[in-house]
Order: sequence, then C-alpha cells, then structure tokens
Amino acid sequence: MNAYPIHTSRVIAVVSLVLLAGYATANDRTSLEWLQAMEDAMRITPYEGNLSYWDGQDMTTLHFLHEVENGTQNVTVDPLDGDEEESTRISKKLRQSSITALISDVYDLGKPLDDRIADRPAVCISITPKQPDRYSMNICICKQSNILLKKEVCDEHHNKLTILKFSEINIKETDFLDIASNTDLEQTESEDEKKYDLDLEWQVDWVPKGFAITSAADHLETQESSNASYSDGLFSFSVFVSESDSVNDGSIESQHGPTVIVSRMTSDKGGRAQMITVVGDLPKETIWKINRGIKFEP
Amino acid sequence: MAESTKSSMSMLIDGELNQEDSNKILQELHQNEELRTDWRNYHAISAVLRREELSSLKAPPDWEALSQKISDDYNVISFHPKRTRKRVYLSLGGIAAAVSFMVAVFVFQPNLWNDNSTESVADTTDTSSVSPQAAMASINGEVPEDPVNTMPTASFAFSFVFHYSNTDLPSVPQDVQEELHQQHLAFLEEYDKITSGLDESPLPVTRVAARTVSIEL
Repeated sequence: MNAYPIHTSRVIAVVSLVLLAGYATANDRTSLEWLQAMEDAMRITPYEGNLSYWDGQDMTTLHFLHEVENGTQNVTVDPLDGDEEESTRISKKLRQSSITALISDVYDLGKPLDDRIADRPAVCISITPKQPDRYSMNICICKQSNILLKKEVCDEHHNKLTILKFSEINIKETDFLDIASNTDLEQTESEDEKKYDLDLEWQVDWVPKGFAITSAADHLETQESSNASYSDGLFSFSVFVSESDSVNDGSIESQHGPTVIVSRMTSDKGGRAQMITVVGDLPKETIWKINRGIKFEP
Repeated sequence: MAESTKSSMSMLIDGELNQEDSNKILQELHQNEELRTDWRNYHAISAVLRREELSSLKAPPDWEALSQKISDDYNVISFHPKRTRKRVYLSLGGIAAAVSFMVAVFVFQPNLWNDNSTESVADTTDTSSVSPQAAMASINGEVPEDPVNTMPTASFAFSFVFHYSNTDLPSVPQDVQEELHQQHLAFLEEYDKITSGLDESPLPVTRVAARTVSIEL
C-alpha cells in the first residue's frame, strides 16, 4: 500500500501547475498569472543560489537552498559574509495556496516588463497598493523557471526599503509526479485551521483590507500572552498581547528596515495591565492604527 | 490644586519657566501623585493642541485622523546593527520564545525641553543615571531608595507617550534605550519566527537569516 495516498484534488492541482509552468508562454501571461506561477514554482521547485539582501541598513549575502522531499519543503540559508555562521533552516509541509488570487483586490499590478537578472531572462512586475496603508513591491521572475529572482519593497515615495536579489541561481529538474504522490495537502490545511480557532480575550477592530489571519496562539511558554498574525499575501503583521506589571499608559515605537514595532500599555476589562504590541512590515501609520484598534472583550 | 501651581505647570509645559522655577515645580510633582496626574493630562492636551496647529485638525480630534497626521514626526528608535553568531533553527510546529515585556519608561529632563533638536531617540547622548527601575518606581508613586542619585536635578520620571513630537521629546538615558531595544528585538525575533513560514514570503526565512547576521537578537 502506498504510504502517501494520492488525492484527486492534489493530482489536479499539481498537473495544473505543470501545465501552467510548461506550456503557457511568457507573452500569454498576465501579471496575476505570473505571480501565481511564481508562487507555485517557489514551493515545488528545488533550487539553490547566492542572493543579496539589503534591509535599508545593511547588506547581507546568503546562500539559499530549497529542497522538496516527501511533501515537505526544506530551506537552508547560510550567510556568506563575515565569520562563519550557523545555518538557518525551516521545514514546512507543502500546501496549496490561493492567496495570490486576492492580491488584485488591494493592489494594482503593472504590466510585465522584460529584464535580465542573474544572467537569466526575467519579467518584472510592479505591485502598487490601492490605498497607502501598505508598501509597494517590484518583483522580477525568471521566465524559464518562474522562480523569483529579485524583490524590492518601496514606500509610498518609491524609496527602496529592502532589496533581495539573486546574483546566481541553479534550478534543478522537478519531478512533479513524485511531488504529487508524496503530498497530502488536505491534511495540512485542516491542521492549520485548528490553530486559528482560539478564544482570545481581545479582538482586532481594524485591519487593512485584504488581510486575513494566518496563525494564532493563546500563550507563549513563559508569559501569559497571546498572539495572532495576519497577511494579505505579500505583507504581514503580528499582534502580541501580554499581561504586564505596570499600569502606565506609555507607548513606544521602533523600526528595523521596513518592520515597525509599536507597543502600547492599556488595561483590560478586568483592570489588569496589558501590553499590546504590533509588529509588521507596514507603514508606521498603519501599525499604530492596528494597535489602537485592539480591544478587550467585555 | 492652586491656580499658581496650575499656571506654573502650564508655563513649564510650554517651556516658559526658568531653571529655578522648573526645579521647584518638578519637586512638587515628585511629591504629589495628584499633581502628576494633572501633569500628564496637561501635557497630553498640550501636545494635541500643538498638533492641531500643525495639522489643522478640528477639536476634538479623533484618533484615526490624528494618527494620520502625527506619525510623520514620531521619534523612531533605530536598532544598531551588530554582528553576532547565533544558531536559529525554526520549526513551525513548535515556535515559542520568551518575550520580555518590560514597561517603556523614559525620564524627563526639563532643561532639554526647549532644545529644538530633531535627532531621534537613538541619537540622544544623555547619560543620566536614572535607571529604568527607579523611573518605574517613581511613576508608580514610590519613593526611590536613593533620591539623590536617581533624581540628580529634580528630574521627573515619565512614561513615553506617543503624543510628543520631536521638538519636545524627552531625553532618554542610554540604559533605558538599551532595555527598550532588547524588548523590541524580542518581539522582532518572535515576529520573524512566526512569519518566516508563511506562504506570503517567496523566499521564506531569508529575512530571518539576514537579521540574525546583522543584529544582535
């Protein structure tokens, strides 16, 4: 018996990816189709290469390795600058994602423009928010593999906040049928749904249009705290709420690259002091507004 | 509260009091909790009123409108890039970390209120010896163990409220800045762990790795 049963929906999904990646020509694709192709390719295509990441303050060069095995994505990142660093690794189950389809609701997508990145033919697409409550993005996608080659995040004045760019990349052959036979997408999705069904004592009154909850936890290990994270498909933010010993009403803001952190002291309905912190890759005005919109249930 | 005290407090907030009178009113503030409450209210009102002038907001200002206007000159603490070697192994199923939730407490130095410097909080070079613990004790109405050392110029402990603009930003001691940095770095680390596995990131964990290299987590 096959240890990884093939579901009909999974096969259809993967075959669709093959068709999309293999048979649609670059000239036929819309910007949204390019984004969808990129999103799929980034999950199921094995590749490795060197990339540079500039966060607005510092430039870092990294070696990036993406592998797919037994329905799991494995990513290993090794810094190439300075002293030898330990690897950063992450593993996650392959899952279907349709979040890109929602992007056109809140972003204007520019026409695909030809370019060349890392010695590969590429198409570049500008992604501009319809409201100034989030950043814009420019991305360049490899025409041959649909892998992202370059990503720039810009503020409303078109100042570049981060730049991520491959200087060289090696894309491996993909066995799509092997991926299909080893991926249980349905199970992964049901597990994730459970995480969001929490009885939090607070609620977020306002989030920018298009943002949906992506994860939540009712406590961390060492604090009486809870958190929830949201994403619109391109950017994300997290809310942390924790009991505090102080009843002061101070607030503080800090920033690292495009990531803004705002902490605000308040009291819950029971009079207990709480610290609300919002961290996200959004303009600070938006982060403040989200923070102010967090209320405790009666 | 006596009218003269109210008047003095108002002048102090507006930066119209000399050093001697400033110290006198601050000494009163230090000893009187009720006065401190009024002080906070006065200062918040004063800040809002000043922003009305800048932004032509109609009173009473609502938060949403206000937040759009006042964010432009918030003071931002910039993290100082530091290299470090640190192992980061992320597992989406078991992400949890200790997050330090300390209270953000700053210390006022009245003789700097009229300084029109526009430098950020991180750029201030004040070396006041007031510790975060002493500042917190004072703000909670407790008497510091050593008032001579903790309040050398009758300074007044005060929580940092977002209403302050650059022109009336209190100077922040270096050690308090460091505490705040560490506090927010913990949040940043937790945020990176949570979001690095999301599908929204075409190159997951890249940002985490880059930050691990460039800053001290």
